[in-house]
Amino acid sequence: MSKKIVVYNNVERFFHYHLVHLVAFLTISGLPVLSHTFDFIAYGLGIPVAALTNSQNILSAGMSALRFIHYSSAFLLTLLSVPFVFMIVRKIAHLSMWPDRWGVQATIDGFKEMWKFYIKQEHVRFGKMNAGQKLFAQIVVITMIVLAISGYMLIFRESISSDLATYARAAHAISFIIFGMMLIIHLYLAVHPTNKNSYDAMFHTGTMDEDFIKEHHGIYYDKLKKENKI
Amino acid sequence: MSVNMKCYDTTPCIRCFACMVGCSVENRLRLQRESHIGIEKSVQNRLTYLSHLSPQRREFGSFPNARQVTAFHHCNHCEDAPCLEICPVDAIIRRDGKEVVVVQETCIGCSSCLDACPFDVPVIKDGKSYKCHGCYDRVENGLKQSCVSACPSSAMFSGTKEEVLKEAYKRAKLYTEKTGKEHVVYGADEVNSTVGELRWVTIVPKEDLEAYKLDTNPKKLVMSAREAVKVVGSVGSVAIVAGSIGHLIYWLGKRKEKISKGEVEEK
Ligand code: SF4
Ligand code: SF4
Repeated sequence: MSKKIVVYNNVERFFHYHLVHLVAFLTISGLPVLSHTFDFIAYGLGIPVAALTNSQNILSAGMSALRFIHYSSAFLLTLLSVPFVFMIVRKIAHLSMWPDRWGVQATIDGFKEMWKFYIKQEHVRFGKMNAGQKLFAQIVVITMIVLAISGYMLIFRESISSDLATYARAAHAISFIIFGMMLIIHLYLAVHPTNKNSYDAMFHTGTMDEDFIKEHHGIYYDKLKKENKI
Repeated sequence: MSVNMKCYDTTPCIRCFACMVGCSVENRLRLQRESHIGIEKSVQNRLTYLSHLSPQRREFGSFPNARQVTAFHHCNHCEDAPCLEICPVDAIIRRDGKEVVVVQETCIGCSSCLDACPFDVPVIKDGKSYKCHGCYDRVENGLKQSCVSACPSSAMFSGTKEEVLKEAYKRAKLYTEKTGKEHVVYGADEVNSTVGELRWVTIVPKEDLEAYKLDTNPKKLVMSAREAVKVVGSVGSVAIVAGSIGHLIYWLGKRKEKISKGEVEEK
């Protein structure tokens, strides 16, 4: 039987696992502020909240409850991020989200490889992440940083100028929209049959078979070999 | 009900600010009338958030032509009020006379209206938004707005849109003829696509529009960008979902084909 290789450590898995809940809470509680299309969420929550608090206005009651959820989730996510950020910073130069090769041609090649894998279903040699996953990770990190900074600016808007708060509101919405679109792609690929091994590694085992890594993540396999981790 | 409109005419204004005092008094009286506050407290405390009409005194021009101008800062009751559109709890409503009014009982104090208003009008105080309500209750009961009632020189006048614009254009024409300076009725026509027409118009020499802070293109670029990205985001999200479904169907078909050809093993 092939050896099991740890691809996601416990801190990464713990962070990702809870990130899922918190991002879901943040998204659901933030959408009705972004657009009236999602008013149904506030109404849905508003009905019991208004009944419990004797409030006259269902939408306001729902929105106030959602704001409480949004703020608490943001606070919990901040707390949760502390150990993760420390871990990331320590190995910042070796993160899988950085390209194995830099430059325009390398990027084009990376996307060609993805085309071969996802469209032609041919065998390719990826690193731990493919070009799309790397790009996704970079965009998500940037948008999450913008979301966090602008979100805290809005919470403490009394301490900043009104103009700055307006910029923060726009930045919060714009970065969320970009983040949201990335998230849909991420969710699709996460549950896609071809990525079952990664899904299991992230949510259940933390490991992948050595043979699987060798076959599907050739560049990553070579790197692990070079570092004497296999 | 027809559209109610107010007009401020900069020419006969004697800068007595009775309109502003009237506004502040009216809003304190409201609190007393609705038993939100005792009379002593409402007089002792400054409650600046209840002054919906405030002076913005500024130096304009440079020596030797510098002069002081007092711009009036107030809600314009925009035709396409961005504050009303953004409010997530529909706490901002439009009365029959088209006054744009915040319902404080509904407001949750999220400040979205403040960020959306290109004239920086709403004031957030103790978790509620405040701004001019056009004295809609007075108007609906046959009275004039408090500021209009207080004005001793007819520099403030109000009525239906037709009445006000007729008088405003008449005055603007007269001033233009008498002074040789073109006078305009700011807000009578669509100002821009963000706010539309205004229901608080101002008669002013055209060359003084800037001095009186009457923005000919009121918009907050970042908030416009936010709206544009929202449209791109909704179209993009639908496209991504459709693309994902399409890819899955394609991928499964292709895989089946590969399995039948024996190129890959079925797992
Ligand atoms: S001036 Fe500002 S507060 Fe008044 S209606 Fe227009 S957007 Fe709303
Ligand atoms: S502060 Fe109040 S009125 Fe303004 S957008 Fe928020 S809920 Fe609406």
